[in-house]
Amino acid sequence: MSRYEILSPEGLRTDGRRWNEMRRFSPKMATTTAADGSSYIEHGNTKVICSVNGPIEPRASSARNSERATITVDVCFAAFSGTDRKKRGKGDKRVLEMQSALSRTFASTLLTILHPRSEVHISLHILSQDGSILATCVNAATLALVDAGVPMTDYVTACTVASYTNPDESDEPLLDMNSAEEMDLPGITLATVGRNDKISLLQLETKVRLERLEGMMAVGIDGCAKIRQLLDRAVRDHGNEMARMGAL
Amino acid sequence: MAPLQTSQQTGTPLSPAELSYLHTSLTLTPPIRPDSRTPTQFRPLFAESDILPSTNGSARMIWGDGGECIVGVKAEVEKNSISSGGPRDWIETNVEVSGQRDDDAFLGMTVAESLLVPGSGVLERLVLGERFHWKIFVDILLLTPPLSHPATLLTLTTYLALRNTFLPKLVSEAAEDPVFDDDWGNGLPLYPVDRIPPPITLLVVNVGENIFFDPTREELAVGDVVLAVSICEKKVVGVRTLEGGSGGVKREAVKRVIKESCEVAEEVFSSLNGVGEGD
Repeated sequence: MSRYEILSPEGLRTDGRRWNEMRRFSPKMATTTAADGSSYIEHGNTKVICSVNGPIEPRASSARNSERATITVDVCFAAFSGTDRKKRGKGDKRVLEMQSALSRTFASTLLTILHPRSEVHISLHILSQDGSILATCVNAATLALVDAGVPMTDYVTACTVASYTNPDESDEPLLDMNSAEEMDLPGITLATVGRNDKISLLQLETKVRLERLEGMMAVGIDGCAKIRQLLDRAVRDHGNEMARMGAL
Repeated sequence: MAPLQTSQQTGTPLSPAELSYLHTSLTLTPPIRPDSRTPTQFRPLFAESDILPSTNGSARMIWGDGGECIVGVKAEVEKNSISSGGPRDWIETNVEVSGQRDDDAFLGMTVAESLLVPGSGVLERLVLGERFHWKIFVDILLLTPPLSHPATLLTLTTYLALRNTFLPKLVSEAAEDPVFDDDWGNGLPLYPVDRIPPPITLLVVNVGENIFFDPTREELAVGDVVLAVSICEKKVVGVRTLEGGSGGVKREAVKRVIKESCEVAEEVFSSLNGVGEGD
């Protein structure tokens, strides 16, 4: 029994949300001029900066493919991002896994075939961690790729869902985990492409009962659709702003 | 005489003729800078402080040329030990440059050295009773290196972060294990307003008789000498020459650089201290 209850009998979580509510999600687009595309996303206390360069000439010959563009991802955890100071090296297992998951997800959504022999480089910096890090990275990368003008079929949006077990053994999915929930509950990270509910990334790192997965995925897909609306609004607002400034 | 350098050597896209033109325009009285700034004027920059809730102090700064830097300061309680290097090890500085494999040790050293100015009194504020002390980690994240030298960007952001660093208040006695006040509102600043503030480093380039602050990459390429001047409050605590620059400089010029740096630094300090007060 943990010291605090993750879901109170009144149906409120530790930060006062209900099961289907997300934390404050504030996306910003085109935050720096140094890269082709950039974004900054605050999802609750999780903060991620993303910059995209590309399509560019591959920096390493291993990233050269004569059929399609290669997508390289750099994920970097700032040493001050967690509760305790911790430095993660480049060879950290978790970092490598996130990088490969991200590059595979975007390889299937971007129209890489239009830019053979080139590279799209996505660089992600995690400034503050409070759960749902991979999902926030996906959303930040999507927004930065839109800003960079890399051709893609649709938005890739992601969110997390936890599975909470009530005292009477019934289960309840909880949308958008924070770090406390991530530590105590089994959960999935799920990314969908576009308006239809096609799943392009699904990650489950803990054990969960098979019959619960269906419900978690349904809640996750709804969450992704919600995030898609928020990202779309950010892109449209940015476009309107650009048009107003006369940049278009 | 204009320096004869090719664009490969200087890293700028300018041709030798263009560099020569720039050199001449900078040696005029009054000098003409390519972006029509005055010699002591800085490029516009965007700065904010206190951006990360998981740190004791943080700051972010973006320069017009795309340079972006984030600094997070974290403090941990550590037991005093005889084996370590003593109070000099209590502040650790790390610089991470995005896209580079290894941390830049040289840049870190530049910032760390200037932080440990003797007599600044900051180490005394880190003592926690008889057996413990605070260990301060200053992590500098250079998201996109600026086109010109990053030293100024790094130290200005570090200054801003350290100025906004607060440590929990100690409520236990000196002989006890440290116990802290739960209320963050009672936190004590690492650098109180009435004490010596953290130092900053300014880049100064000397061209002929003229000196320029906050030089661009092109101005660095044609300078006679590039100096990094570290200033703490109203005193210059360090001067060093940086790579680049063609030919030496006279003693009087260095003297003038130091004198003017103090005046410029005062303006920089007052504008940095104004960050965050507006909102």
